[in-house]
Amino acid sequence: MPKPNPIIRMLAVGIAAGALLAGCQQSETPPPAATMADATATIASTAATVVASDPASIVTAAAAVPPDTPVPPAIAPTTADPVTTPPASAAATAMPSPTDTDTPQPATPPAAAANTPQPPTAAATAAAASPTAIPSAAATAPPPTDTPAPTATPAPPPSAPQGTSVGEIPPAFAMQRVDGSGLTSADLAAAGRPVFMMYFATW
Amino acid sequence: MQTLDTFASDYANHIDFYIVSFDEDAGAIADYISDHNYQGFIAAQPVGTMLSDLAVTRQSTMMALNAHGRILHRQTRGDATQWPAYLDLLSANPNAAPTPSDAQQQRDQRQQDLQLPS
Repeated sequence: MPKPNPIIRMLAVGIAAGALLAGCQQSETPPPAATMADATATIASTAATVVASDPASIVTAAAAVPPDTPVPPAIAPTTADPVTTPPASAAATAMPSPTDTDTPQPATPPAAAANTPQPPTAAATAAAASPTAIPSAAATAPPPTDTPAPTATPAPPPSAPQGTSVGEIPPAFAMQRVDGSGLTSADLAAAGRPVFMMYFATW
Repeated sequence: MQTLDTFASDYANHIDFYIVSFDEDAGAIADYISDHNYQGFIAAQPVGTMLSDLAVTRQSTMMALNAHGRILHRQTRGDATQWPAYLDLLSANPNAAPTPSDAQQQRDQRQQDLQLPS
């Protein structure tokens, strides 16, 4: 790659620095925003091109420039951090389009948030599934609620046959106490206490 | 009942003692219990076909049911010496069930008792 003429470099750097300073001073005046933004963009691109070509030559060129000239302070920050340069900041403030392109990036979190609703949707599906499970549980629940009535009376051992002999379950019977209250074999079994019955006659 | 009264109160905390009228109402049994100052007995009278359903054909028939309603001991004629053993068993285990040999022995004894004149 052929080396550019140092004089041309210095001229380019000087023009760029002057344009930058002029842009900063003119930013106080109300020029058309589009024109100022275009000029700043052009200057920034030109300076970036020159810097990218040979930064070392720019430093030497800046050292060769007299200190009272405003060029070195303007270019040195540009090489160090183009974002912190006044033209770049001015361009950033002057051009709303880059900021608009940046704002969509923060808008991507909403897009990510749009992706995050998937867990809620999963939860919603789980919640939607749970209602279906609840009716099923409720459907299974009624049988136990119906069974408590039989379970209230202790079920006899299945191995015990029904009969009147020892070891057997006697058939259902009923008695009446002296106060008139009834008493069934189921009541006796529900009481959970052994019973001793003696059949008696007073005569 | 006099013999039963001698030890019924000892098991009253674990076992309910029912004195079921054979052919009278419960009031007659209650009066009898009261007149003799017996304690721990519940007077009752059968309802419907209870006596025939349980094959109770003679007075002084005794029947012990465990907490599940299973017949642990049955005696057609009075032999009070056997009662405490079954009452002790029910007090220790309310769900006590007879052994097969005991059940068979009691069935045989019952058949012999039914052969005797009432």
